[in-house]
This record gives sequence, structure tokens and C-alpha cells, in this order.
Amino acid sequence: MTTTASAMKDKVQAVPLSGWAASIILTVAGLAAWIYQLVAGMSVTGYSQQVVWGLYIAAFFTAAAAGAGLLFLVGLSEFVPLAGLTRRKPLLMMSIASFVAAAFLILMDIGHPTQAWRLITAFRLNVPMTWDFWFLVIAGVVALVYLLSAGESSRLMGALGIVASLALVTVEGILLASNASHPMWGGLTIVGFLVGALLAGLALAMLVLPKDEALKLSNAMAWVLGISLGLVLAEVLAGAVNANLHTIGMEEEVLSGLGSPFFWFQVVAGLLLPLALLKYSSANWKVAAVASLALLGVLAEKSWILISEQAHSWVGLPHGSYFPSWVEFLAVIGACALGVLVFQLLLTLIKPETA
Amino acid sequence: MRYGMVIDLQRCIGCNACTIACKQEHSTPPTVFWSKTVISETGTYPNARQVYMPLLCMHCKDSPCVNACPTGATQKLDNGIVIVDQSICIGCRACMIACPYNARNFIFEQKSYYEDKGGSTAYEQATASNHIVGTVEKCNFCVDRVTAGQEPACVLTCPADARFFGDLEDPNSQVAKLVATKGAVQLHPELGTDPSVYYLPG
Repeated sequence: MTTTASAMKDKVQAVPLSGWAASIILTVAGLAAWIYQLVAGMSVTGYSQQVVWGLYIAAFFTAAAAGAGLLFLVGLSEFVPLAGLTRRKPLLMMSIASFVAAAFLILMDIGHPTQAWRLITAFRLNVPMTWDFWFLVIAGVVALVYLLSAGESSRLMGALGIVASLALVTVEGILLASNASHPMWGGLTIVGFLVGALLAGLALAMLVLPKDEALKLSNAMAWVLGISLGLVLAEVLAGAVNANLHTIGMEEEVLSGLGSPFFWFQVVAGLLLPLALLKYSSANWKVAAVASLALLGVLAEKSWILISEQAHSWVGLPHGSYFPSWVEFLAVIGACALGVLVFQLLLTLIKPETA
Repeated sequence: MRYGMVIDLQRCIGCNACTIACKQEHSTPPTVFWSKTVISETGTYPNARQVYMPLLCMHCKDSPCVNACPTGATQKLDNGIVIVDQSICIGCRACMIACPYNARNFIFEQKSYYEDKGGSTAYEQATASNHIVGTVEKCNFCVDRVTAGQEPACVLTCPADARFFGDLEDPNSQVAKLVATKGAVQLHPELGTDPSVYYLPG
């Protein structure tokens, strides 16, 4: 047993019973919410004919981003020494768990899930969603193979991880940016998705790793939070100085309209507060708080990006409305709990000392 | 061949007869409107007036919905009509996101117009299978009627004769002549979708 593995065995605790119980109960609650939605119809969500992508898709983008971000960081650590990222297995486990949660979230969002298999057989390569689906599958497979072959440095798997994660997040940005009908979704959205993935990946790493190692990621987290803040401001300012009436309408949706609760949550609680905590706090809970807030901030960002664009119509329809229903909140919490459950299972099945 | 429609906004009186004819023809459930008229106001008193904007699927030549559909449920026929095969629609709503004209409808639930009066009518029950819950649907230019040599229901019904239907690629058709000679415009041509529905300015 290597020194690192030995140290890991000391630090990585077995999953406590309460951890299992909480994740199982929340997963079951989320499943129940989804079943209720399947029986009653998607009218139990907050969607309308105008706003049709909301919390589910935002959470899907966040989970996929977090999984991809982790995979990217682990892959990068094969080539560049990254302080705090000396152990790969638990991070790859969490990456896989995030991809599982993402897959479950997309299943919850589609209206006719019994037809979901057609995503596999249709294989329409000119459609961004097809690429998104297959890149999610590929990233998940790469993370799994990487996990099973980890234990010693594997530059090939690291490189594959980097490529797969970048491809997944880029395609998701393109999925939005390719819609000419939504002018605020563009090149900056793709960059924002990449930065968001890094942010979410770092946040998950801070939650997974022991505190002393997570603290070593503080500097990187501060940098990425700062870059994300700059990007958000750039996105809003770019829209504000644009003379396009439609874009100005979007701007109002972001700052004071349908997307504003999510936008201001991201700026204040998801970016500024974690930055302040990193700078001024020395509390025990700092790492967990910073990571959790950063993750919620990424979720809020995806939410306002999606909702604001749909609220405003090109053809003079009345202003759209949307706020997630309790069913959506519960189903998303359930999907996240499922991710935690998968992580706990992997942690139990693949012993840390073999890392 | 490319079927298209011209709507004369000067003739449109905003009566929504097209909206009702469409609902009657296709038995669309509550909250679902394949055809609708947006009524807005312009100007300030005493020079204010209402503006009527009839909307339906634009059956775009370069359809963003077709390019967004991951299963091929949204298809463009050889005659230019864009249809949805609901039997293979997964309800991802990517097409609704892609459509700049809000022409598409999601079937959220099985619902009757007569929930408080004993539930679905016999007609609603007979046509319920045409509207699969959890999928997307939209105007299909009354493809069955058109194939049988008839006009779409909204065109036939319009009491102001504001709607014209025909082959845009046939220079002798009424629609092609109106487009060529009356200054017909498309909605948001800057988006590059090349709609098959044209409007004569009001």
C-alpha cells in the first residue's frame, strides 16, 4: 500500500447510516414526485406554453457541468500538479454520480419518457441534442473506465477525460447558442458553460475531499468565482449596450423580470458570498458553505439564462410566467440525492485503499 | 411545391373565427391553440387603435424546429408543410425552444373543456388519441384537407377573406401573385427561417 493510499484509508470515512438513510429517503421522495408528475401530467410543473425549459433543464446542465468539471480536473491533474487533487478515485466516483443524476434529470423533464429510447436509435447527427446525449454517455463511460483503471497515473485516461468533459460542456453551450430565436444565448454562453463546469467541478471536489485538502483548492475556487462574476457582468453589460429591442427586453427579464430571482441569487449568494467567505472566514464550515453556495450559484445561473430568454416573445404574446413548482423542487432534490446514493455505493463497492 | 399562406392584415378584423375553426377541425384541448390572434394596442388616445396579428405555424423553409428535433418527429414534407409525428415525439420541447414564433404547443395533460359539466364529450373522447399527452403539436396547414384538395379550415372560415392559401412556387397561384405584387412580408426574416406564411401590412 502506498503512503497516499494509506493516508486516504485513514481519512475517508465509511458512509454513516444516517447518510444512507437521508439519501435513500430523498431519492424515494424525488421518485414519488416524478411518478406524480407522470400520472397527473406536466401541468403540475410551473411550465407554460411559453416557458418550457426550467428547473429540470437547469439542474441537468448543472449536474452534467459538475461531472464534466470534476472529470476535467482529474484529467488535468495527470499533466499538471494541482494542489489538493492528489486522489482521483473519490472524485471520479462523484463525477459518475453527477452524470447519473444528470441522466435522471433529463428523463424527468421529457414529456414522454417511454419514448426516450428513440434518442439512441434516431441518431440525428445534425441535431445538437443528439450530440449532447451521446457526449453525456461518452463522458460517463470515460469516467467509469478511468475509475476502474485508476490507482496509478494514466495520462491516456486523463487526456480522454479532458476531451470528453470539454466536448460535453461545449455541446451543451452550443445546444443553446444555436437557437437564432434566443439572441442572448451565444458565444458568451458557451464560455459561461465552460467556466460554470470548472466552478461546479471545484465545488464538488471541495465537498468530496477531506477538509485539509479541500482548503488547498480555495485559491483556485476564488479565481474561478471571480472569472464567473466577470463573465456574468459581461453578459449583462453586453446585452445592455445592445440597441436590439429584443435583447433589451431580455435584459429586463434578467435584472427585474422572470429570471431576476435566480440572477440576483447567483450574484449575491452564489458568487459574492463565497468570495467573501473565502477571504474573511476561518470557520469550520467554510469549505462546505463555499462549495454548496457555488454549486447553487451555478444552478441559479443556468436557471436565469433559460427562463429569461423564454419569457419574452418575438411575436407579441403576453409575458410568459414561470416559477418552479414544489414537484420540480422535490424531483430535483431527489435526483441529487440519487447522485449522492450512487457516490456512496461506489465508495462502498470500490474501496478507497485501492485508489 | 411549397404550400404557403398570405394573411391580409388590412382585412383581418380580429374575430378569432380562424382560432375557433382550427380548434373545431383539430379538436385541440384547452390551452392549446394551433391558430391564434394576438390583439395589441398602438398609439395613444385619441389616436389609439387595435392591431390584430393572426399567428400559426410559419412552415418555415429552413425550419429551426426540424433541425432541433432529436428523434425526427418533426418532419418537413415535400410540399413544404412541417408536421409532427406525435407517436415518436419524446416531449423534450427542443422544437418549442427553437421556434421563434411560439407556434408549438405542449400537451400538458388530458383535459376536457367540460370538466365541470360531466367531463369529456363524445367528440373529445373520439379525438383524444390525436393529442398525445407529453408531446408537442402544432398547425399542420390542415394537411389532410389540403391533400384532399380542400383549403385549410382557417382559410375557409375567415369571414373577411383575409387568408389565402396555395403553392408559393407556382407563379400563377394567388399567393405567389400576392407575395410578388402586394409587398407581402414575413415575420422576422432576419432570423433566416424563411417562413411560408406572409403578411400584407395593415
